Amino acid sequence: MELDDLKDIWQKGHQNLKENPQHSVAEIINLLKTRTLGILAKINRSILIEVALTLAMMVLGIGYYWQIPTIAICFGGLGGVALVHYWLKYRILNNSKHLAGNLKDSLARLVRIFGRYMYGYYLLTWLMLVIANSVVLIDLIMESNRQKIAAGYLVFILAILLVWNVIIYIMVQIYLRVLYGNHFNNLKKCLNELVHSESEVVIEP
Amino acid sequence: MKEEFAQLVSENQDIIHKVCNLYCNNAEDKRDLFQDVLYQLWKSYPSFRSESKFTTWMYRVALNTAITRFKKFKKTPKPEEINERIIQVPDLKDDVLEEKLKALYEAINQLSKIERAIIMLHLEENSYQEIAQIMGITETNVGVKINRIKKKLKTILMKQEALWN
Repeated sequence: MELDDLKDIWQKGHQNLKENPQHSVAEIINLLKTRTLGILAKINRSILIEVALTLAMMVLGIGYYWQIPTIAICFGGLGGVALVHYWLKYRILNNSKHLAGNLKDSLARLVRIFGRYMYGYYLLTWLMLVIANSVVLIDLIMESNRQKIAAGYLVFILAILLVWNVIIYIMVQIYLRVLYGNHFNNLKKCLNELVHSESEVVIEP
Repeated sequence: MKEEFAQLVSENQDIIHKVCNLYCNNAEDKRDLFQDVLYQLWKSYPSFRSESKFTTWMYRVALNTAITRFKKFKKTPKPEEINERIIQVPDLKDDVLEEKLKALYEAINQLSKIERAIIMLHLEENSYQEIAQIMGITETNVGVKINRIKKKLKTILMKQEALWN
């Protein structure tokens, strides 16, 4: 197969796609109405469920610790940060503005937003761990003020706390690497391919 | 506005099908991408100004959607799905042409995502200026990249022919 033939093969091979469209105008309108099958719609649904769960946890936490303002504020802060996180996530997945621009700009924009999101996720995880640990420790201190706590029990609680922190940290690492890490790396690879080749051309006389 | 949009897309839907063929592993994925592209086109339609051709704008949105698309679960295609992808070239009456088109698709699928986009735009008779506009690179760079891709394709196609013979 000669390279000169490629265009010819491509165009003749796709001629019937042009002449016999697979979807009518009515079908296209219908596809726009029933677009819930797409992957974006599925992820959006997951985000909505997570937002609902966060709100429920936030309300329950604040309600339960209403008498202890420090802990109630911690729950409020935690929920607020989580909601900002979901808003960022939603923005990345649904922002269509970048898709109308050229590919290099779109990739650069997405890589920037994704990078911030990943960084924010790590920060959020640490913040959540700090807040969660504070809640447990404050609870423990208040308990010790009311009655004497055995040293063994204290060590047991602290050990559970430590294990819990390690598990959460590992889970977040896996979650980010598996779910978003590959996608982020693919985007960076595509962007580098465009940017790198551009600089190569500039260097060439 | 929806009818006008649907009419325009319907007349040029071959562009979306070709992009889907290039970036999808199986029929389900292709259906999903077709719908995603359609949705992104519709969302971006209000910002479309007639500064560029409608088809250029369509290529831009379709390629952007396909290349930057987020897949929640990375699914490794099964062997039968890969065969399905290869078979998914337009149903042609000419067997020789169909075989050649399959070979071309197989060769293009071995290129990177960016290279696939550039060679598709080139095969679609887009000018260097249009390709540069869609990709966001200079015309000189488009020329350099097309030459490199052609060399790569030639090597791949020669290997394929050697395998068949």
